[in-house]
Amino acid sequence: MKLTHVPIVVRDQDRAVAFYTEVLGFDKRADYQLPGKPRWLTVGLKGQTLELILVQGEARVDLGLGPEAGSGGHHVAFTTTDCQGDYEALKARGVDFAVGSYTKPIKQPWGTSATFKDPDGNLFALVQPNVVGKVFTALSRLKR
Amino acid sequence: MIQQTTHVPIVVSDQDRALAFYTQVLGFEKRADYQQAGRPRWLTVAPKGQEVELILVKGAYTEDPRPPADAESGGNHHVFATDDCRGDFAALRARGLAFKHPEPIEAPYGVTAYFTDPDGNHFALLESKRAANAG
Repeated sequence: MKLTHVPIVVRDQDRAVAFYTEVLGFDKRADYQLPGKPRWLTVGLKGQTLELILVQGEARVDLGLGPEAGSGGHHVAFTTTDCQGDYEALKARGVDFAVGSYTKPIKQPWGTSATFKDPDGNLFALVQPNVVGKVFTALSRLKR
Repeated sequence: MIQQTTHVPIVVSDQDRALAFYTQVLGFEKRADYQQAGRPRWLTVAPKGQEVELILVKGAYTEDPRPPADAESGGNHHVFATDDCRGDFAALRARGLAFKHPEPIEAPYGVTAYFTDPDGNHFALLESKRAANAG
């Protein structure tokens, strides 16, 4: 089994696809609607099979955590080679990096990360692993 | 620039129960399981051989966009590609997984089967008719 599609719940599919393609740089992969069915709208990153399904709806999740927990792990994570650079570029495009008590990239033991929101409040982490993070990931794969 | 998606969240009410389901029923690998002081438990699983990990996040929907477990997902589902939907269907059912339909469905785009996890998150298994899911 291989994960190929992941749902992201959005209130307005047009607004969401504009954000994912124009702001984050995703490609639109599918956009069609069968009679009586919801609009099937997906985006994906260049060079990666995985697609995000922008499904119409409204979602709110309570993790029971305070603002110091940031996303609390409830996020979609992306890797980047330049977290600070992406933060600055995306912030200039109007992306909201206020998640819990965090507003900008922070150093973690395993690298640098920044959390942001899409227009619907879905949370994302931009992760630039350092040597520790890369070794940790490699070790967790070796255990397979 | 953003390179790859590496982690996606799944909201679960009981992380231990979810871990048992994803590893013992679906056959995923546990990839990470640790907790820093004062932080939520970071628990991830992944299909064998795939980089993308599912984060099993403990939480509850206060506004729930998901249709009931026995209804159609309305597109609010995760898709797993398979090269043998009927084989996986039989193997997973033998491990106690309850599918929504008694048999896999022949759709114009392939053979598919729908199920939910113990928390009502929707999933589709899809054996696509297009060239065996390249990449």
